[in-house]
Amino acid sequence: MEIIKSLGESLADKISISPTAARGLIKLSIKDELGPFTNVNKVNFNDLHKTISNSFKKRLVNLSIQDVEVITESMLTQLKHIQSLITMANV
Amino acid sequence: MDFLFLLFQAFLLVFLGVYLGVGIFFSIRALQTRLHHIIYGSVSFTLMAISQIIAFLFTFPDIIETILISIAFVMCVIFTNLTFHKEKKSSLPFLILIVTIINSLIFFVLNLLRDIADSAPLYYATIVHDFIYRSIIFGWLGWSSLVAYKKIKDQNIEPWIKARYKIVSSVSFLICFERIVRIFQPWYQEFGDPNYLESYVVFGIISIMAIIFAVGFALAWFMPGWFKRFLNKGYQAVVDKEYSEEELMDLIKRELSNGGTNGNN
Repeated sequence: MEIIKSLGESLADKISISPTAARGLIKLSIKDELGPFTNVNKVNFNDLHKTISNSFKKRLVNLSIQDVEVITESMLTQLKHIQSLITMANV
Repeated sequence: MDFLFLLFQAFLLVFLGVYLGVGIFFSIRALQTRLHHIIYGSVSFTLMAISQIIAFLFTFPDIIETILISIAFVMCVIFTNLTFHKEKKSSLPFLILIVTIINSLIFFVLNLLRDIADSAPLYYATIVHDFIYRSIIFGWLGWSSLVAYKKIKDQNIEPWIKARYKIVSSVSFLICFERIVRIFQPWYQEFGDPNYLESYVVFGIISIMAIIFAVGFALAWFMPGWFKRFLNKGYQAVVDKEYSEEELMDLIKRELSNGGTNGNN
């Protein structure tokens, strides 16, 4: 899903990990938040917003990442900027 | 002359067909993808088509067409806001919605007055207002799509998606200008009457604009597979290796310990 790819690349830059690992972390967070059988390619804006605010943030804390608040806020801002990708890539 | 007239009519029918098709398509995709906000787009485009179809086929009072178009336009703005501007700090999307609702009321009153006593000043006031009204709605959709495109254009996104942004933006701006052409339509003549040259030329230009819009709008939203493959030519799709949760967390921890932004650095 294009929005996860884009958010993943942004996260990879922020915490210096590979884009593959960053995308994986976002997908794991989605499953934490919405259930293990969630199709990560069918998430909407609200799902992603909730995921980043909750389970994604927790995963960053558990990984002892610095500035979790700043990173989470920046990811939410990024999500708002590119939210149309969810519609444009899936309609 | 007859052939041209039929061709222009066919263009307008294709235009209405595309609106209706996109409306139905959006409903189906809303159910398939859980993107419920596109229902607003579906209602909007379906109503735009239905309002014109009933005006062509039946002798309903014009005011019904006016009401349907007003609802369609408000729905279009809600669709734009929920697709491009959800939870943004700016109050502009809300302001555009309010302005659209106010303009719907003005549109309703102007058309009601024209029904009662049509005159040249009233006709031109309606056309100018209609141009402003449509420019706000379709200009907002076009501008939102253009700004969103600028944000993703340098990212590693599939080219067909980038093309969809550009097409939606271009055809939305194009449709804003349809009403400018209407200014040259003499107010006392029947729109599209082949017996009057001015009216016929205006009808022809509007039909050509409509068919360009229809082709662009259909390509953007229906986007056939061959067109996607053509646009994606040379693009390397990202395919992630499948990891178990444990493997992935190990990979992230390893990458973080090798220079990532974690507490150990």
